[in-house]
Amino acid sequence: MKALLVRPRFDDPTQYTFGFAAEILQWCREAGINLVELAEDKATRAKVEEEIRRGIDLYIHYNHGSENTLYGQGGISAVDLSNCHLLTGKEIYTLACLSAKSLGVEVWRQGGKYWGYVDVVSFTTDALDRFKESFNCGFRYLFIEGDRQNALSRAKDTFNRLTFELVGTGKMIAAICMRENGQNLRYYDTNAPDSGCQLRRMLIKVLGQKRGWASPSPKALIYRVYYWFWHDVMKRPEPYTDTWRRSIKKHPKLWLSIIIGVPVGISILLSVLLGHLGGFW
Amino acid sequence: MNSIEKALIDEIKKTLGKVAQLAPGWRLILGTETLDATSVIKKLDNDKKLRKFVLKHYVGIAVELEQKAREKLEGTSGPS
Repeated sequence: MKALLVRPRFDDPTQYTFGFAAEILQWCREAGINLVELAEDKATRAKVEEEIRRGIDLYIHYNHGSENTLYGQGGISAVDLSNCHLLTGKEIYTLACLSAKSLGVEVWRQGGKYWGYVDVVSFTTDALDRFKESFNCGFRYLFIEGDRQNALSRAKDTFNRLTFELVGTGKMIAAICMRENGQNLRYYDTNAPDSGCQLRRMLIKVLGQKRGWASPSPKALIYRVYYWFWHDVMKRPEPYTDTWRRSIKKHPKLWLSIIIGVPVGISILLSVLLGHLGGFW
Repeated sequence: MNSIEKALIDEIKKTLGKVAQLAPGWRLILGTETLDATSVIKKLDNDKKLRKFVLKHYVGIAVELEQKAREKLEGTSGPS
């Protein structure tokens, strides 16, 4: 088995996830898994795509994520809906926020197997060993012990056990995070994921599971076109989708005032100008 | 927020206040955010989503503890 481990490190959360991934590295060496590591500055989209194209069976990603994206060094997209077809037929194991929500479903739809979380991942620094155990246990069950059938239920049991261990030691915030992570964990293998898309649900109902999942999601198509335009036509390093989304989330009032203010400003200017030219003012 | 929820959040804030004193290096990593205990206390006041998140799991853990206790009771009370 050939594996690719991507573990950037550039902010506080990634200092910890970088450390969690070290155990995966060690397990792979002990189990004789041929592992290529892209750490820190090497964790870029270009290098990730290059290594995937060289041929891998397993892709491991420990860093930030969003519904559509797994981020590389500096928070720049490494894998997203526009290049996830490269992971067709591969196993994917992630520790990243939200990525199982859309990206994981799209990878699964294209024949991959995806381990990830459907919501924000959280942890506290007073129980790092227990969080490391919870985040890495699925990897042990899947690839070291080879128990694919029960890996998810065993991992959920591990999250539950650790939650109550944390309650027992009085670390309630840590226990809350552990419980939340356990509830958000997903593994898409032979079982179909739940679709959040109304249209997809209707297609599955009418055409059945196989045909219902056959067409790509509109989101994935839009992402590909968007990426093609920004990256291939405009020669920009990153599609601006996420940059804009992050900016809108960070400064909602500013964006709202731009969206409302610019058309209003133009209207006033035009009415004054045209009114003046027409002799109304 | 009802009175029980308010009491619970107040107790959590008191605990976090102690954490801020005794373990100043303590951090909560919430996605891309890194918060120290004082910031979490402030966020519990202002962020409805975080309050809901904490309360949901606090109650969930309490329910599961009760279920475990009942299972334990059922396990020990065999036919005499």
